[in-house]
Amino acid sequence: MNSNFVFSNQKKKKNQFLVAVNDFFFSTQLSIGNTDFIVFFRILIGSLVLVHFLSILSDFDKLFASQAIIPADVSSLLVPKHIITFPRIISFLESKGISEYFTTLLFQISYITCSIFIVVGFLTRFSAILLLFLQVSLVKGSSLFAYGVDFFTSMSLFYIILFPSGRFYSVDNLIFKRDQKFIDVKPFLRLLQLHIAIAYFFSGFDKIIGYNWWNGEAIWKAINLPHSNQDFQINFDFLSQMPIIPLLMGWAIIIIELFYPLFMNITKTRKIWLTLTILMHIGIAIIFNLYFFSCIMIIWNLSAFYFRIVTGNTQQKSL
Amino acid sequence: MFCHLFIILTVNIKGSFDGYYGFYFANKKYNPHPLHNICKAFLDYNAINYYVSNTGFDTGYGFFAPNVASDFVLNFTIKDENNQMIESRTLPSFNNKESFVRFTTTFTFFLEKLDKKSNQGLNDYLKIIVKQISLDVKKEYPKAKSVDTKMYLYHFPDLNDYANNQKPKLILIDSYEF
Repeated sequence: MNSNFVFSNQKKKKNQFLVAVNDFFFSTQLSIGNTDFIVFFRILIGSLVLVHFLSILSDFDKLFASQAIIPADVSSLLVPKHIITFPRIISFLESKGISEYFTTLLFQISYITCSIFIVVGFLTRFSAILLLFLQVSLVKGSSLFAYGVDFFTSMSLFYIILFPSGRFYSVDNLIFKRDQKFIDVKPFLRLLQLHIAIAYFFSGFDKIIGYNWWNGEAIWKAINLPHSNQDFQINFDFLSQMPIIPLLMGWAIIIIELFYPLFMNITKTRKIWLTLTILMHIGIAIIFNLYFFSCIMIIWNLSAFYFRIVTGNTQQKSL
Repeated sequence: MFCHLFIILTVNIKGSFDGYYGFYFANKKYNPHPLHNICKAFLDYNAINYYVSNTGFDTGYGFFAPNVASDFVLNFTIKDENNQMIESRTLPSFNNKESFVRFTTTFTFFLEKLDKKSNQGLNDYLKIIVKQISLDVKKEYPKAKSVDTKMYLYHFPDLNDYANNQKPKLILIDSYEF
Protein backbone atom coordinates (compact mmCIF):
# COMPACT_ATOMS: atom_id res chain seq x y z
CA MET A 1 0.00 0.00 0.00
CA ASN A 2 2.85 2.38 0.94
CA SER A 3 4.77 1.59 -2.23
CA ASN A 4 1.61 2.24 -4.29
CA PHE A 5 1.25 5.62 -2.60
CA VAL A 6 4.90 6.53 -3.28
CA PHE A 7 4.62 5.41 -6.91
CA SER A 8 1.43 7.38 -7.40
CA ASN A 9 3.09 10.47 -5.84
CA GLN A 10 6.12 10.16 -8.13
CA LYS A 11 3.86 9.75 -11.13
CA LYS A 12 1.91 12.85 -10.05
CA LYS A 13 5.14 14.89 -9.74
CA LYS A 14 6.32 13.66 -13.14
CA ASN A 15 3.00 14.66 -14.68
CA GLN A 16 3.17 18.07 -13.02
CA PHE A 17 6.69 18.50 -14.40
CA LEU A 18 5.58 17.57 -17.91
CA VAL A 19 2.62 19.93 -17.66
CA ALA A 20 4.93 22.74 -16.53
CA VAL A 21 7.30 22.09 -19.43
CA ASN A 22 4.37 22.00 -21.83
CA ASP A 23 2.99 25.29 -20.47
CA PHE A 24 6.44 26.87 -20.75
CA PHE A 25 6.83 26.06 -24.43
CA PHE A 26 3.27 26.05 -25.72
CA SER A 27 0.23 28.24 -25.28
CA THR A 28 -2.58 26.99 -23.10
CA GLN A 29 -6.26 27.54 -23.75
CA LEU A 30 -6.10 30.79 -21.82
CA SER A 31 -2.97 32.32 -23.30
CA ILE A 32 -2.47 33.56 -26.80
CA GLY A 33 1.05 34.17 -28.03
CA ASN A 34 1.59 37.80 -28.96
CA THR A 35 2.79 37.89 -32.54
CA ASP A 36 4.34 41.37 -32.33
CA PHE A 37 7.82 39.97 -31.66
CA ILE A 38 7.76 38.08 -34.97
CA VAL A 39 6.81 41.20 -36.93
CA PHE A 40 9.37 43.30 -35.05
CA PHE A 41 12.10 40.72 -35.60
CA ARG A 42 11.35 40.32 -39.30
CA ILE A 43 11.17 44.03 -40.11
CA LEU A 44 14.17 45.07 -38.04
CA ILE A 45 16.40 42.22 -39.16
CA GLY A 46 15.44 42.74 -42.81
CA SER A 47 16.20 46.45 -42.47
CA LEU A 48 19.50 45.85 -40.72
CA VAL A 49 20.63 43.32 -43.32
CA LEU A 50 19.76 45.79 -46.07
CA VAL A 51 21.50 48.77 -44.47
CA HIS A 52 24.54 46.67 -43.53
CA PHE A 53 24.91 45.46 -47.11
CA LEU A 54 24.49 48.96 -48.52
CA SER A 55 27.15 50.20 -46.09
CA ILE A 56 29.85 48.20 -47.89
CA LEU A 57 28.38 48.17 -51.40
CA SER A 58 30.91 50.55 -52.90
CA ASP A 59 33.72 48.34 -51.54
CA PHE A 60 32.04 45.09 -52.56
CA ASP A 61 34.59 44.17 -55.22
CA LYS A 62 37.48 44.96 -52.92
CA LEU A 63 36.14 42.74 -50.14
CA PHE A 64 34.32 39.87 -51.82
CA ALA A 65 35.07 39.55 -55.54
CA SER A 66 37.48 37.06 -57.08
CA GLN A 67 40.19 39.76 -57.26
CA ALA A 68 39.43 41.22 -53.85
CA ILE A 69 42.13 42.63 -51.62
CA ILE A 70 42.64 39.01 -50.57
CA PRO A 71 41.83 37.14 -53.80
CA ALA A 72 39.38 34.28 -53.76
CA ASP A 73 41.96 31.63 -54.59
CA VAL A 74 43.85 32.64 -51.44
CA SER A 75 40.93 33.03 -49.05
CA SER A 76 39.27 29.83 -50.24
CA LEU A 77 42.23 27.65 -49.22
CA LEU A 78 40.85 27.35 -45.70
CA VAL A 79 37.25 26.77 -46.79
CA PRO A 80 36.05 23.14 -47.05
CA LYS A 81 35.11 22.16 -50.57
CA HIS A 82 31.47 21.40 -49.71
CA ILE A 83 30.81 25.02 -48.69
CA ILE A 84 29.30 27.15 -51.45
CA THR A 85 31.07 30.50 -51.43
CA PHE A 86 30.52 33.58 -53.54
CA PRO A 87 33.85 33.15 -55.43
CA ARG A 88 32.90 29.53 -56.19
CA ILE A 89 29.54 30.73 -57.52
CA ILE A 90 31.44 33.16 -59.76
CA SER A 91 33.76 30.39 -61.01
CA PHE A 92 30.87 28.06 -61.66
CA LEU A 93 28.86 30.62 -63.62
CA GLU A 94 31.97 31.74 -65.54
CA SER A 95 32.37 28.15 -66.70
CA LYS A 96 28.82 28.47 -68.09
CA GLY A 97 29.72 31.66 -69.94
CA ILE A 98 28.29 34.15 -67.44
CA SER A 99 30.73 36.95 -66.61
CA GLU A 100 31.78 37.86 -63.09
CA TYR A 101 30.40 41.35 -63.58
CA PHE A 102 26.94 40.01 -64.35
CA THR A 103 27.08 37.50 -61.49
CA THR A 104 28.09 40.21 -59.05
CA LEU A 105 25.35 42.53 -60.25
CA LEU A 106 22.74 39.77 -60.02
CA PHE A 107 24.00 38.84 -56.55
CA GLN A 108 23.76 42.40 -55.29
CA ILE A 109 20.30 42.97 -56.78
CA SER A 110 19.07 39.67 -55.32
CA TYR A 111 20.51 40.50 -51.91
CA ILE A 112 18.88 43.92 -51.79
CA THR A 113 15.59 42.66 -53.21
CA CYS A 114 15.35 39.78 -50.73
CA SER A 115 16.07 42.13 -47.84
CA ILE A 116 13.28 44.46 -48.95
CA PHE A 117 10.92 41.52 -49.43
CA ILE A 118 11.62 40.38 -45.90
CA VAL A 119 10.93 43.84 -44.51
CA VAL A 120 7.55 44.07 -46.24
CA GLY A 121 6.79 40.37 -45.79
CA PHE A 122 6.52 39.37 -49.44
CA LEU A 123 7.39 35.77 -50.31
CA THR A 124 8.91 35.93 -46.87
CA ARG A 125 10.13 32.41 -46.33
CA PHE A 126 11.48 32.03 -49.86
CA SER A 127 13.23 35.41 -49.62
CA ALA A 128 14.78 34.45 -46.29
CA ILE A 129 16.01 31.11 -47.65
CA LEU A 130 17.58 32.77 -50.70
CA LEU A 131 19.05 35.59 -48.63
CA LEU A 132 20.53 33.14 -46.12
CA PHE A 133 22.16 31.27 -49.00
CA LEU A 134 23.57 34.50 -50.44
CA GLN A 135 24.72 35.82 -47.07
CA VAL A 136 26.44 32.59 -46.02
CA SER A 137 28.16 32.31 -49.41
CA LEU A 138 29.49 35.84 -48.92
CA VAL A 139 30.66 35.26 -45.35
CA LYS A 140 32.24 31.89 -46.00
CA GLY A 141 33.93 33.15 -49.15
CA SER A 142 35.62 35.96 -47.25
CA SER A 143 35.85 34.45 -43.80
CA LEU A 144 38.86 36.59 -42.91
CA PHE A 145 36.57 39.63 -43.08
CA ALA A 146 33.70 38.10 -41.11
CA TYR A 147 32.86 39.01 -37.55
CA GLY A 148 30.09 38.63 -34.98
CA VAL A 149 27.39 40.52 -36.88
CA ASP A 150 27.68 38.09 -39.81
CA PHE A 151 27.03 35.03 -37.68
CA PHE A 152 24.09 36.64 -35.95
CA THR A 153 22.73 37.72 -39.33
CA SER A 154 22.85 34.11 -40.54
CA MET A 155 21.08 32.90 -37.41
CA SER A 156 18.48 35.65 -37.67
CA LEU A 157 17.67 34.72 -41.27
CA PHE A 158 17.38 31.09 -40.21
CA TYR A 159 14.86 32.08 -37.56
CA ILE A 160 12.91 34.17 -40.05
CA ILE A 161 12.64 31.02 -42.16
CA LEU A 162 11.59 28.95 -39.17
CA PHE A 163 9.08 31.40 -37.69
CA PRO A 164 5.72 32.12 -39.37
CA SER A 165 7.25 35.47 -40.33
CA GLY A 166 5.06 36.10 -43.34
CA ARG A 167 1.78 35.53 -41.51
CA PHE A 168 1.48 38.83 -39.67
CA TYR A 169 1.46 42.42 -40.98
CA SER A 170 2.83 41.30 -44.30
CA VAL A 171 2.22 41.64 -48.00
CA ASP A 172 1.92 37.84 -48.07
CA ASN A 173 -1.14 38.09 -45.86
CA LEU A 174 -2.74 40.66 -48.16
CA ILE A 175 -2.06 38.74 -51.34
CA PHE A 176 -2.51 35.15 -50.34
CA LYS A 177 -5.39 35.73 -47.90
CA ARG A 178 -4.59 32.76 -45.72
CA ASP A 179 -7.03 31.42 -43.16
CA GLN A 180 -6.55 33.37 -39.96
CA LYS A 181 -6.41 30.25 -37.83
CA PHE A 182 -4.66 30.33 -34.50
CA ILE A 183 -0.90 29.86 -34.70
CA ASP A 184 0.84 29.16 -31.45
CA VAL A 185 3.91 31.43 -31.60
CA LYS A 186 5.02 30.75 -28.05
CA PRO A 187 7.45 27.94 -29.05
CA PHE A 188 9.23 30.37 -31.39
CA LEU A 189 9.48 33.00 -28.69
CA ARG A 190 10.83 30.43 -26.23
CA LEU A 191 13.37 29.28 -28.81
CA LEU A 192 14.66 32.81 -29.25
CA GLN A 193 14.69 33.43 -25.50
CA LEU A 194 16.56 30.22 -24.73
CA HIS A 195 19.06 30.79 -27.52
CA ILE A 196 19.89 34.29 -26.37
CA ALA A 197 20.06 33.13 -22.75
CA ILE A 198 22.56 30.42 -23.71
CA ALA A 199 24.57 32.95 -25.74
CA TYR A 200 24.92 35.43 -22.89
CA PHE A 201 25.56 32.78 -20.27
CA PHE A 202 28.49 31.35 -22.21
CA SER A 203 29.73 34.80 -23.10
CA GLY A 204 29.89 35.60 -19.39
CA PHE A 205 31.27 32.20 -18.47
CA ASP A 206 34.06 32.44 -21.04
CA LYS A 207 35.02 35.82 -19.62
CA ILE A 208 35.05 34.72 -15.99
CA ILE A 209 37.53 31.93 -16.76
CA GLY A 210 39.99 34.58 -17.97
CA TYR A 211 41.90 36.19 -15.09
CA ASN A 212 42.29 39.51 -16.93
CA TRP A 213 38.57 40.04 -16.54
CA TRP A 214 38.90 39.84 -12.73
CA ASN A 215 41.26 42.82 -12.39
CA GLY A 216 40.05 45.27 -15.05
CA GLU A 217 42.96 44.60 -17.44
CA ALA A 218 40.68 43.07 -20.08
CA ILE A 219 38.56 46.24 -20.22
CA TRP A 220 41.69 48.41 -20.24
CA LYS A 221 43.25 46.40 -23.09
CA ALA A 222 40.02 46.28 -25.13
CA ILE A 223 39.38 50.03 -25.06
CA ASN A 224 43.00 50.71 -26.02
CA LEU A 225 43.21 48.40 -29.01
CA PRO A 226 44.67 50.25 -32.01
CA HIS A 227 41.48 50.08 -34.08
CA SER A 228 39.04 50.80 -31.22
CA ASN A 229 37.64 54.17 -30.23
CA GLN A 230 38.29 55.70 -33.65
CA ASP A 231 35.03 57.61 -34.07
CA PHE A 232 34.62 59.43 -30.78
CA GLN A 233 38.29 59.38 -29.66
CA ILE A 234 37.29 59.29 -26.00
CA ASN A 235 40.25 59.86 -23.71
CA PHE A 236 40.40 56.94 -21.27
CA ASP A 237 43.74 57.88 -19.69
CA PHE A 238 42.02 58.78 -16.43
CA LEU A 239 41.14 55.09 -15.89
CA SER A 240 44.80 54.28 -15.20
CA GLN A 241 44.57 56.62 -12.19
CA MET A 242 41.34 54.94 -11.05
CA PRO A 243 41.82 51.23 -11.77
CA ILE A 244 38.74 50.39 -9.70
CA ILE A 245 36.58 51.64 -12.57
CA PRO A 246 37.74 49.18 -15.25
CA LEU A 247 37.66 46.45 -12.60
CA LEU A 248 34.02 47.23 -11.82
CA MET A 249 33.18 47.57 -15.51
CA GLY A 250 34.63 44.12 -16.18
CA TRP A 251 32.68 42.53 -13.36
CA ALA A 252 29.53 44.36 -14.39
CA ILE A 253 29.77 42.86 -17.87
CA ILE A 254 30.41 39.40 -16.47
CA ILE A 255 27.45 39.64 -14.10
CA ILE A 256 25.09 41.04 -16.75
CA GLU A 257 25.96 38.20 -19.11
CA LEU A 258 26.40 35.29 -16.72
CA PHE A 259 23.15 35.92 -14.85
CA TYR A 260 21.17 36.95 -17.91
CA PRO A 261 19.20 33.64 -18.03
CA LEU A 262 18.27 33.98 -14.36
CA PHE A 263 17.27 37.62 -14.10
CA MET A 264 15.54 37.79 -17.46
CA ASN A 265 13.33 34.95 -16.24
CA ILE A 266 12.22 36.87 -13.16
CA THR A 267 9.49 39.39 -13.94
CA LYS A 268 10.65 41.97 -11.38
CA THR A 269 14.23 42.07 -12.70
CA ARG A 270 13.57 41.63 -16.41
CA LYS A 271 13.17 45.30 -17.26
CA ILE A 272 16.34 46.43 -15.47
CA TRP A 273 18.36 43.54 -16.90
CA LEU A 274 17.16 44.26 -20.42
CA THR A 275 18.08 47.91 -19.95
CA LEU A 276 21.55 47.01 -18.65
CA THR A 277 22.14 44.64 -21.56
CA ILE A 278 21.09 47.24 -24.10
CA LEU A 279 23.28 49.86 -22.43
CA MET A 280 26.18 47.42 -22.60
CA HIS A 281 25.69 47.07 -26.34
CA ILE A 282 25.40 50.83 -26.80
CA GLY A 283 28.74 51.08 -24.98
CA ILE A 284 30.22 48.49 -27.35
CA ALA A 285 28.98 50.50 -30.32
CA ILE A 286 30.49 53.75 -29.05
CA ILE A 287 33.85 52.36 -27.95
CA PHE A 288 34.51 49.65 -30.53
CA ASN A 289 32.53 51.26 -33.35
CA LEU A 290 30.70 47.96 -33.92
CA TYR A 291 27.39 49.64 -34.69
CA PHE A 292 25.83 46.84 -36.70
CA PHE A 293 26.78 44.18 -34.18
CA SER A 294 25.28 46.19 -31.34
CA CYS A 295 22.13 46.80 -33.37
CA ILE A 296 21.53 43.14 -34.08
CA MET A 297 22.07 42.22 -30.44
CA ILE A 298 19.61 44.89 -29.32
CA ILE A 299 17.08 43.60 -31.85
CA TRP A 300 17.47 40.07 -30.47
CA ASN A 301 17.04 41.28 -26.91
CA LEU A 302 13.96 43.33 -27.64
CA SER A 303 12.40 40.63 -29.82
CA ALA A 304 12.90 38.02 -27.12
CA PHE A 305 11.90 39.94 -24.02
CA TYR A 306 10.13 43.20 -24.74
CA PHE A 307 6.77 42.06 -26.03
CA ARG A 308 3.79 41.07 -23.98
CA ILE A 309 2.12 37.71 -23.64
CA VAL A 310 -1.63 37.96 -23.59
CA THR A 311 -3.37 35.72 -21.09
CA GLY A 312 -7.12 35.44 -21.51
CA ASN A 313 -8.65 38.89 -20.94
CA THR A 314 -5.76 40.05 -18.84
CA GLN A 315 -2.54 41.29 -20.35
CA GLN A 316 0.40 39.65 -18.63
CA LYS A 317 3.34 41.95 -19.10
CA SER A 318 6.51 40.24 -20.26
CA LEU A 319 8.33 43.23 -18.78
CA MET B 1 13.56 22.67 -31.26
CA PHE B 2 15.26 20.67 -28.53
CA CYS B 3 17.76 19.23 -31.03
CA HIS B 4 18.50 22.73 -32.25
CA LEU B 5 19.05 24.02 -28.72
CA PHE B 6 21.18 20.99 -27.94
CA ILE B 7 23.40 21.81 -30.93
CA ILE B 8 23.75 25.43 -29.77
CA LEU B 9 24.66 24.21 -26.29
CA THR B 10 27.24 21.77 -27.69
CA VAL B 11 28.84 24.47 -29.84
CA ASN B 12 29.16 26.71 -26.80
CA ILE B 13 30.54 24.03 -24.49
CA LYS B 14 33.18 23.16 -27.05
CA GLY B 15 33.85 26.86 -27.59
CA SER B 16 34.43 27.38 -23.87
CA PHE B 17 36.89 24.49 -23.76
CA ASP B 18 38.69 25.78 -26.87
CA GLY B 19 38.95 29.23 -25.34
CA TYR B 20 40.24 27.85 -22.04
CA TYR B 21 42.83 25.57 -23.65
CA GLY B 22 43.85 28.24 -26.15
CA PHE B 23 44.52 30.72 -23.36
CA TYR B 24 46.00 28.60 -20.57
CA PHE B 25 47.70 25.91 -22.67
CA ALA B 26 48.73 28.02 -25.66
CA ASN B 27 52.16 26.46 -26.19
CA LYS B 28 51.80 23.42 -23.99
CA LYS B 29 50.63 19.90 -24.50
CA TYR B 30 47.35 18.95 -22.88
CA ASN B 31 44.78 16.20 -22.80
CA PRO B 32 41.37 17.62 -23.69
CA HIS B 33 38.53 16.90 -21.30
CA PRO B 34 36.34 13.96 -22.46
CA LEU B 35 33.34 16.30 -22.71
CA HIS B 36 35.28 18.45 -25.20
CA ASN B 37 36.05 15.36 -27.28
CA ILE B 38 32.40 14.28 -27.23
CA CYS B 39 31.24 17.74 -28.33
CA LYS B 40 33.87 17.86 -31.05
CA ALA B 41 32.93 14.41 -32.36
CA PHE B 42 29.26 15.35 -32.39
CA LEU B 43 29.90 18.61 -34.25
CA ASP B 44 32.26 16.93 -36.73
CA TYR B 45 29.47 14.59 -37.77
CA ASN B 46 28.76 15.50 -41.40
CA ALA B 47 25.09 16.39 -41.15
CA ILE B 48 25.58 18.48 -38.00
CA ASN B 49 28.64 20.19 -39.44
CA TYR B 50 26.78 21.05 -42.63
CA TYR B 51 23.81 22.36 -40.66
CA VAL B 52 25.77 24.62 -38.32
CA SER B 53 28.18 25.95 -40.94
CA ASN B 54 25.37 26.99 -43.28
CA THR B 55 23.19 28.64 -40.65
CA GLY B 56 25.74 30.55 -38.56
CA PHE B 57 25.15 28.41 -35.48
CA ASP B 58 28.77 27.22 -35.51
CA THR B 59 29.84 30.42 -33.80
CA GLY B 60 30.63 30.63 -30.13
CA TYR B 61 29.84 33.72 -28.06
CA GLY B 62 33.10 34.14 -26.21
CA PHE B 63 33.85 37.58 -27.61
CA PHE B 64 37.00 39.00 -25.99
CA ALA B 65 37.12 35.87 -23.87
CA PRO B 66 38.85 34.38 -21.92
CA ASN B 67 41.24 37.18 -22.74
CA VAL B 68 41.28 40.16 -25.07
CA ALA B 69 43.48 39.09 -27.95
CA SER B 70 46.40 41.25 -28.96
CA ASP B 71 46.07 43.29 -32.09
CA PHE B 72 48.43 44.11 -34.89
CA VAL B 73 49.43 47.08 -36.96
CA LEU B 74 50.69 46.81 -40.50
CA ASN B 75 52.89 49.58 -41.78
CA PHE B 76 53.28 49.96 -45.55
CA THR B 77 56.18 52.00 -46.87
CA ILE B 78 55.68 52.59 -50.57
CA LYS B 79 58.88 53.27 -52.53
CA ASP B 80 59.63 54.47 -56.03
CA GLU B 81 62.24 53.11 -58.46
CA ASN B 82 64.96 55.10 -56.69
CA ASN B 83 64.05 53.45 -53.43
CA GLN B 84 62.74 56.75 -52.14
CA MET B 85 59.71 56.68 -49.89
CA ILE B 86 56.54 57.92 -51.56
CA GLU B 87 54.27 57.42 -48.57
CA SER B 88 53.93 55.46 -45.37
CA ARG B 89 50.53 54.30 -44.17
CA THR B 90 48.83 51.64 -42.06
CA LEU B 91 45.64 50.75 -43.91
CA PRO B 92 44.45 50.22 -47.48
CA SER B 93 41.84 52.60 -48.90
CA PHE B 94 38.17 51.89 -48.54
CA ASN B 95 35.13 54.01 -49.29
CA ASN B 96 33.18 53.00 -46.20
CA LYS B 97 33.85 52.82 -42.52
CA GLU B 98 32.31 49.36 -42.19
CA SER B 99 34.84 48.11 -44.75
CA PHE B 100 37.64 49.16 -42.40
CA VAL B 101 35.95 47.28 -39.56
CA ARG B 102 35.80 44.15 -41.74
CA PHE B 103 39.36 44.55 -42.93
CA THR B 104 40.80 44.82 -39.42
CA THR B 105 39.20 41.51 -38.41
CA THR B 106 41.86 39.92 -40.64
CA PHE B 107 44.46 40.83 -38.07
CA THR B 108 43.21 38.17 -35.66
CA PHE B 109 44.64 35.65 -38.12
CA PHE B 110 48.08 37.15 -37.52
CA LEU B 111 47.99 35.70 -34.00
CA GLU B 112 49.19 32.50 -35.66
CA LYS B 113 52.57 34.21 -35.97
CA LEU B 114 52.84 34.26 -32.20
CA ASP B 115 51.88 30.63 -31.80
CA LYS B 116 55.01 28.47 -31.49
CA LYS B 117 53.00 25.46 -32.60
CA SER B 118 51.99 27.00 -35.91
CA ASN B 119 53.46 25.17 -38.87
CA GLN B 120 55.45 26.49 -41.81
CA GLY B 121 52.46 26.05 -44.14
CA LEU B 122 50.40 28.40 -42.03
CA ASN B 123 53.22 30.94 -41.88
CA ASP B 124 53.55 30.80 -45.66
CA TYR B 125 49.80 31.34 -45.98
CA LEU B 126 50.02 34.32 -43.67
CA LYS B 127 52.81 35.77 -45.82
CA ILE B 128 50.63 35.39 -48.90
CA ILE B 129 47.83 37.31 -47.17
CA VAL B 130 50.18 40.12 -46.16
CA LYS B 131 51.56 40.18 -49.71
CA GLN B 132 48.10 40.52 -51.24
CA ILE B 133 47.22 43.38 -48.91
CA SER B 134 50.56 45.08 -49.63
CA LEU B 135 50.13 44.77 -53.39
CA ASP B 136 46.68 46.28 -53.12
CA VAL B 137 48.14 49.27 -51.30
CA LYS B 138 50.94 49.56 -53.88
CA LYS B 139 48.39 49.61 -56.73
CA GLU B 140 47.18 53.01 -55.53
CA TYR B 141 50.54 54.58 -56.43
CA PRO B 142 51.34 54.52 -60.16
CA LYS B 143 54.99 55.40 -59.52
CA ALA B 144 55.47 52.74 -56.85
CA LYS B 145 58.13 50.13 -57.49
CA SER B 146 58.04 48.26 -54.20
CA VAL B 147 56.37 48.21 -50.82
CA ASP B 148 58.03 47.38 -47.50
CA THR B 149 55.53 45.93 -45.06
CA LYS B 150 56.20 45.62 -41.38
CA MET B 151 53.93 43.66 -39.05
CA TYR B 152 53.90 44.97 -35.50
CA LEU B 153 52.28 43.60 -32.38
CA TYR B 154 50.56 46.47 -30.62
CA HIS B 155 51.52 46.33 -26.98
CA PHE B 156 49.62 48.64 -24.65
CA PRO B 157 50.92 48.92 -21.07
CA ASP B 158 48.73 47.52 -18.33
CA LEU B 159 46.96 49.85 -15.88
CA ASN B 160 49.83 50.06 -13.46
CA ASP B 161 52.54 50.56 -16.09
CA TYR B 162 50.49 53.21 -17.89
CA ALA B 163 49.99 55.07 -14.63
CA ASN B 164 53.81 55.04 -14.34
CA ASN B 165 54.10 56.77 -17.72
CA GLN B 166 54.96 53.78 -19.86
CA LYS B 167 53.87 54.28 -23.44
CA PRO B 168 52.36 51.90 -26.02
CA LYS B 169 54.92 49.98 -28.06
CA LEU B 170 54.98 48.49 -31.51
CA ILE B 171 56.87 45.21 -31.41
CA LEU B 172 58.18 44.14 -34.79
CA ILE B 173 57.03 40.62 -35.60
CA ASP B 174 58.06 40.34 -39.22
CA SER B 175 58.94 42.42 -42.25
CA TYR B 176 58.44 41.82 -45.94
CA GLU B 177 59.35 43.46 -49.21
CA PHE B 178 57.13 43.02 -52.23
